[in-house]
Amino acid sequence: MAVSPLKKRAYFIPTGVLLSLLFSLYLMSHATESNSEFNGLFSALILVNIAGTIFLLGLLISNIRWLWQQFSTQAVGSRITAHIVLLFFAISVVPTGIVFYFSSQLLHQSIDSWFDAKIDTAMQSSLTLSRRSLDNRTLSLMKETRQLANQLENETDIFLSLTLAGLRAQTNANELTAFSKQGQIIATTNLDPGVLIPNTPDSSTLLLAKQNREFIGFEPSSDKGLIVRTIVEIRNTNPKRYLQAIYTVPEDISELAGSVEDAYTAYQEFSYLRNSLKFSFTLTLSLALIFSILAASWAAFVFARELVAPIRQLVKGTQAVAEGDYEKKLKTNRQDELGFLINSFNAMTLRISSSRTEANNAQRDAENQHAYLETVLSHLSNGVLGFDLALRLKTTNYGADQILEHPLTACIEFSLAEIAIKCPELEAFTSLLIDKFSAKEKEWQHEFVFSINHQKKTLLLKGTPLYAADKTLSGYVLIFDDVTPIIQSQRNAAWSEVAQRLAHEIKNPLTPIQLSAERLQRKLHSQLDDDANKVLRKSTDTIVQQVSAMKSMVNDFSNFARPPQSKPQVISISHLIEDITALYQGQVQHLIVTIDDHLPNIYADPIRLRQVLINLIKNAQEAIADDDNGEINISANYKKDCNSIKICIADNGPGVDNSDIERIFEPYSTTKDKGTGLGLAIVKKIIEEHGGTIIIKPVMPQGANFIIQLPVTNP
Amino acid sequence: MLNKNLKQTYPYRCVSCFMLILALLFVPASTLADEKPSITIKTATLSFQDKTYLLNARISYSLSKEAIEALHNGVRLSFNVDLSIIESRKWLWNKHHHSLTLPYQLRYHTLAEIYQVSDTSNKLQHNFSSLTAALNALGTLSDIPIHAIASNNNFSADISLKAYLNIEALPLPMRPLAYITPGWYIRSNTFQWPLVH
Repeated sequence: MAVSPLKKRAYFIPTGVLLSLLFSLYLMSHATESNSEFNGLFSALILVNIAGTIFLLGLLISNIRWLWQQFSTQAVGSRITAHIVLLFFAISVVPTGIVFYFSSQLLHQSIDSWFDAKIDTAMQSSLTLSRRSLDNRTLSLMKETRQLANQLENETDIFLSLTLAGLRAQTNANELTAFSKQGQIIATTNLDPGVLIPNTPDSSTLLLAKQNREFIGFEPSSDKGLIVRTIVEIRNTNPKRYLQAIYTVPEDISELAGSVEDAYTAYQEFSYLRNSLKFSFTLTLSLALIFSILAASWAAFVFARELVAPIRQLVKGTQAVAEGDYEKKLKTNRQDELGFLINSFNAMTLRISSSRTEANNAQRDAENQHAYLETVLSHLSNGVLGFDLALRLKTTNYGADQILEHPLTACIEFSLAEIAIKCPELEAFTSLLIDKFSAKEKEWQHEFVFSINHQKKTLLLKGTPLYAADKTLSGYVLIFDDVTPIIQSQRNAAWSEVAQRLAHEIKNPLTPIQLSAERLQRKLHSQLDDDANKVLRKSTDTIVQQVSAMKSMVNDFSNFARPPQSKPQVISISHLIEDITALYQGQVQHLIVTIDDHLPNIYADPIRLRQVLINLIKNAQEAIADDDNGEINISANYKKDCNSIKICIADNGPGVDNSDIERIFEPYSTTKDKGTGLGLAIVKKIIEEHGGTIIIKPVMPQGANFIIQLPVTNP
Repeated sequence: MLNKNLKQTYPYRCVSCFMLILALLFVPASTLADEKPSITIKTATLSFQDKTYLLNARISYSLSKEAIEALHNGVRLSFNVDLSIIESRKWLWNKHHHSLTLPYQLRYHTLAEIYQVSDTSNKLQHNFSSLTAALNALGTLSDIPIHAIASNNNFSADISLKAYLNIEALPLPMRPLAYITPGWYIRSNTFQWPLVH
């Protein structure tokens, strides 16, 4: 991941603070030296360091909070970040802690070692010695002051200053001052005439002098030397007067005493500051320790974040790839192994993406091909069945369902034996296929005749093995076609030809025969007697009648061969049925008509349909003629699934033998004593001309049911 | 002399303020709240004589046991008396016209067993045989000339006076602890009175 300039800038402030703190710590360590010029900045430096440490602590807390949030939300990379930070923390804390502990111990021991009981005693002794030395000297000076005071007995205040000046000249005193009990200066004299204000004792000294009648003490002078202050009560004065004499201690003694005092004070101060010194050093060390740990912790976060960022990117990238986003590209400017990893990931996703595109294209092509084949197969009137090597049905099409009149789509993955069990009517068909495919012939062709739904069908089967791309046998394909209509049409065509020739050949002599018979009757009527006339008339009538019957039969033949031109129009099939059945209401005892409401109109020739219905009703009427319980059921309903009208004309007559059912619609196929046997053939022809179908089914326990299906078409 | 004092005062005051803030952070608030001021300004006047303002004040110093212990162990205690001329403004913050610091030092002379009070700015020192006398002298400001205030100031101003122990003048190792120890919090409240021209 490329570190954005903003993020880089975000590191500037903490880095600046770190460097500043480092410099501040350096100054602080220098400031602790007694003669350092940074001495005055010590407190400020502590403050700066504490503020910096608080800043770093805040930085660390915010980073820990960020990590905690990442950890709670199970964010990618949070665990590895936590591990790195903890590792860094442990690595930094342990050694710095050890260094801190031993440094602190060493420091404390070193400071303690500076102070020794012997040195304490020596310093105290030297101070006492100095005091004793000065005491001896001050005692003699005290005596001298007493003598001076004695000389001032009975002296009045007026002469006191003159007397004092004289006395000072006789002694070593620097200054002589006489003052009252209240401390009021009465007279004073000084070795230095420029000094106008005497060195007066403080109130407590004066009090001591008044209490003890005398006082002696030494004290530092303003010029770094020592002076001895003696105060003695002047006797026989009223009010009370006191004489104060100030002597200067010789310079060499003063220097020595001052030196001892300075050394002792310095040692005493140093000893007193021992704990403070330890505290200060410990504070400095602690700040350095805290600073180091905080800086290391922050650095750990920075390092972990930098390290985890590309890993997090990679995880997100892999998640995106897992979710199918192969266009995911990861950005990086890194030149290290992680950068190499990200670049490899990008290359991988690019390859996957291109492979996926190719696979998609191939799949799309295959799907298109498949859809194309499906469309072709589904719209193919031929039946196509595909089998695997175990002769399990893999593929079927609409044509196969229609031809075999079984929904083979429901038998996908069924073996041929299982299909035979499920559809017993297809047993012969499946047995043939098992035999043929088991024979392992390369290609085979077979004409197969079998009955299904009481209809005889002739199928032309063509089997072929199916080879995979690697030329191995992967299954079998069967293509078959129902050639029954072709055979039927060929037969019809032959019959039409026969009928046409027959009609032509028969019709030609019929008219001359009829005319000749009528002529015979007309010419011979007058020449014959009554008996002969009767015979003649009967014979000629029979001839004319039979010729008419033959003409009618020939016309039927002619109609079968050359049907009149169809005149289709939009008609209501329910009205048509109602009109026709109305004609038979009186003739048939039990005529039941059931027509659905709202039957759609169809586009058909009403005259020819009327011919069909009358023919079928007439057939039914004839079938039940000998039965008192004869019944005809006529029904019509709409079949939405195939958009057609289904008309059923059923009777409970004797029915049709199974052997006759298959051939009942063929010309000259009749079970009746009278008739040409063309009625049902013409009915079927008319129905087929309208695009419909007609079948006959036996009715249980007896009877026959003609089922017509007419498509609902528009002009 | 005055300018020098002013120059030295500012950074030290800043540091003192910072350290005071730090001390307030570290020391429980109740501790300082219960602490009575150890320095009390009893009286303070500014009189005008011979074209010069003279300061007279009576300040009562009271040292804590920590301060006394340090004093007897050779530590010099520095006290500052800060004087400021403040112009009160209605809509803005107060304006400090002049600030003056009078530094004093108190030390114990081990050899002579006396207390020394030094006026650091005038390099004067006085010896006292007792601490009470020394503190008494330290708290007596008599006729201190304040040259910084001009007589022709025509604004209404207040004079503020406060005295405190200068922790920054303590030996270096003592300072961190002194800032967080209430015993070293030796200072007065600000004593303020109007300047009369």
